[in-house]
Amino acid sequence: MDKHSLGYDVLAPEYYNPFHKTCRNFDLTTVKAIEDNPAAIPDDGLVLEVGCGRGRCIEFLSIESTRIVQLDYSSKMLSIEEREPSLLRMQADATSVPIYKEQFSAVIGFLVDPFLGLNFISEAFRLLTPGGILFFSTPTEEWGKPLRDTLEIEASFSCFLTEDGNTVKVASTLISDEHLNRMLQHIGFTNINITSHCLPKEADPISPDIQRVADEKGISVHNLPIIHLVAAGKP
Amino acid sequence: MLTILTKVTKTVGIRTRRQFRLTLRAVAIIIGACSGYAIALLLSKQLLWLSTIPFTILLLSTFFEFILADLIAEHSHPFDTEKKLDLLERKLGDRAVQSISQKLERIIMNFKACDQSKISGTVHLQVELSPSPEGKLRYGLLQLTNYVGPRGGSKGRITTLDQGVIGRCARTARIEHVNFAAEAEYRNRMVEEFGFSKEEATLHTAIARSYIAIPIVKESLIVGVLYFFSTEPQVFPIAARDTNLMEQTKDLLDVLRTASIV
Repeated sequence: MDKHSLGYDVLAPEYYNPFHKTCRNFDLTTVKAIEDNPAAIPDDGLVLEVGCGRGRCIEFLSIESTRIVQLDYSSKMLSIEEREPSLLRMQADATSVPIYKEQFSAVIGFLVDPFLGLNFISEAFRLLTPGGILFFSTPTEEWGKPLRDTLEIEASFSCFLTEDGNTVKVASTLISDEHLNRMLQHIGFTNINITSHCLPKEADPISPDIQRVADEKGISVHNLPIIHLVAAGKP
Repeated sequence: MLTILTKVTKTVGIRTRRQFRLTLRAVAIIIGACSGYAIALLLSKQLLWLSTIPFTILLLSTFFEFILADLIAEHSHPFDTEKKLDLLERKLGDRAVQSISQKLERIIMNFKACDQSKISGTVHLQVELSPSPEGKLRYGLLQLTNYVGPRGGSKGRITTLDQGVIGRCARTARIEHVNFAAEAEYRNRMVEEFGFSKEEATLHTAIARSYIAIPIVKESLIVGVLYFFSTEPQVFPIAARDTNLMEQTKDLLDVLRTASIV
């Protein structure tokens, strides 16, 4: 299993440290975005948290741990000790989950760009019960694309600078909100709601990678949409 | 060495065996002429021993032109492949080749919920290759047309049936698709699952992330493979879900049948 786990295996021990300012800025933006756009997560049924890392469903959405199945491709991410409790931890590819269809009332993911695409959305649809919800966040193209152009890195990759000064390259797909909407509709989702969110005023410190793009665009860092929050229902 | 030479020739736009052979000849002639001039110059200055250097170079370039260049040309651009492609193209005619390309473009436009500008496609035909040393018949897939779309190599490439997504499709007679998250995964799986050597996989352009191959079937026999790939991740098979791909191959089969190719 070395599809795209290796990069995150390296990052796992430090991914949640304040050193990774962009990730921490994303966290804060996600919390604020959810406050402003509360997700209609069903009150019962299992919840699959894809690309879970140490788990975020309790922190961000106050879901009971006994409902949560945590899924990640990286074994090192799944073995982070300081983590949210869950019913079960699974090591699997979010685009091909070895579970029978219609088992979850919600499929949730925070920063799903490493595996975002038609196959992931289709797999989420397969796993959801009718009436279930797909809810995820992903970095915006309007932030990520100019940054990758400036840093001269491939459009389908993200680079992390580690605490010991190494660079770790991981797969990361950026998709515009219109394209995301088309993909969700094609798979069969309805009640699609895609919102874009900027870094809240209280963010401190601000990631230089967010600041850089805002400066290039000549706008305030708090006016640059950095994440999409996506909610879509399975009829 | 040959790998580097092949890469360089492709980069400068040399595609056919004739172009490749003429380039090698031109290089040998230039080196030979320069060496001859150097020999004459050194001899006129009575530098006999020094003139043995350009003399050796002249000998080597002559050896290269008359012996090595033919072997290299045969390795890089097999005559058999060119002959087959030439024959097929003559049978098909320009119009049919154009018609196939237009059909490919139409199929790409029918793929849903994806960036169609990132998809390329072509048609491969199953052809007989030179028999193995044991005299066994061997089959391969000959790329019949240049790629339609933004990426991919030109026609004439031969893939054996034990290689690649198209080889797998020709063997199983089913629609085959494969997705890669990153270049490293592509190269590993090409070696581990798709029958290529490490060296061959290194030569591939690994920018595509999603591939689909559809068998072209005539009376339950595989005659070719319709092939698409996208640089956008996770496009296939979902984007092609509403496109009746097997129906599309029947259209192509008609064109090939009219030209008596299948």
